[in-house]
Amino acid sequence: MIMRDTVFCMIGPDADQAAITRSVHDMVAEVQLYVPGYTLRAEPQFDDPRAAWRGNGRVAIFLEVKGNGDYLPPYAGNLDIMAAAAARVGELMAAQLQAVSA
Amino acid sequence: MRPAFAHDVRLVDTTLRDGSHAMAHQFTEQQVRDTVRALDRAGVEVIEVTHGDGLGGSSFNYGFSDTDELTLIAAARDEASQAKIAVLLVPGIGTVEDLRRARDAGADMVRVATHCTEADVSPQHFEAARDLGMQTAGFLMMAHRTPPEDLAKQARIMVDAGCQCPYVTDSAGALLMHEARARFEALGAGAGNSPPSATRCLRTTSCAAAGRRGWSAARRT
Repeated sequence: MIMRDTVFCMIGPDADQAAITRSVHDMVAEVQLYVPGYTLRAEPQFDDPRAAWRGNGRVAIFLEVKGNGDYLPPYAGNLDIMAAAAARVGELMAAQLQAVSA
Repeated sequence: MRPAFAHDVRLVDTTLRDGSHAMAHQFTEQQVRDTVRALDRAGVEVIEVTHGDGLGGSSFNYGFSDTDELTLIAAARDEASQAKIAVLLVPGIGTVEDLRRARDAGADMVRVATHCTEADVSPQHFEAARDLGMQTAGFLMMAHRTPPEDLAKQARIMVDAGCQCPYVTDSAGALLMHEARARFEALGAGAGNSPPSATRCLRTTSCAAAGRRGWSAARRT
């Protein structure tokens, strides 16, 4: 079994669902630059506004994170994503440091 | 006038916290005030008021509170003349920041709950609570999932971090009396009698009634 996450976000009753869906896909593509196994399991799903949510709606995002399998097994995507994010930050910092000293 | 305690038992009433589940977290300020007033008059020493899943529980995952828990905590503090007001904190759902806000709203005590083998996620919350001058209790949930000796070690982690009252809860109602007793005794031997004054207790869900499912009793050592 590969690591999965469900992310809920509260959205206004008039939220632009097409824009949210586009934004989610864009962000997934960006994360995939450094975590190749970061994927959507399904399209974002929208729930209509409810009184219990103070008139707000909800978007649900279903993620799967498969690790690279370099050192840890692929199912350990939760650990791999932290290492991958840290490596990414290191690369960005290094690039900036080189730009400053150059 | 509060009735005098005839024995060495401390009652923590969690109606306004655990009972919140049965209410779909829709307790009103008036219901909290009325319940606190009655419990306070009855001599209950500690009254717990929080979202059913503890501080910060109001969410899509656990259900939204109708009234902000901080408003309810403040109302409870305002209403109680003798009882202390406690809050529940499950690390990961609630944070130290939530605890600070609860303290500001008037909470006197915090009960920090972790899974029975994961006490190591609780120390920062105990330390923050002691820094804030709050009383602390910690409990190890799902106590049937690990042997008595291990429970005692886990309780020790909580005590060392500033937990004044470690105890275990039979969250699943899975323990038979002799198993519960073994855990109670292991906790007393391993974690009890430590400064400032450790107490311990055990809750059996199977004993409880709907709506008032949670109850706790701690014996002073």
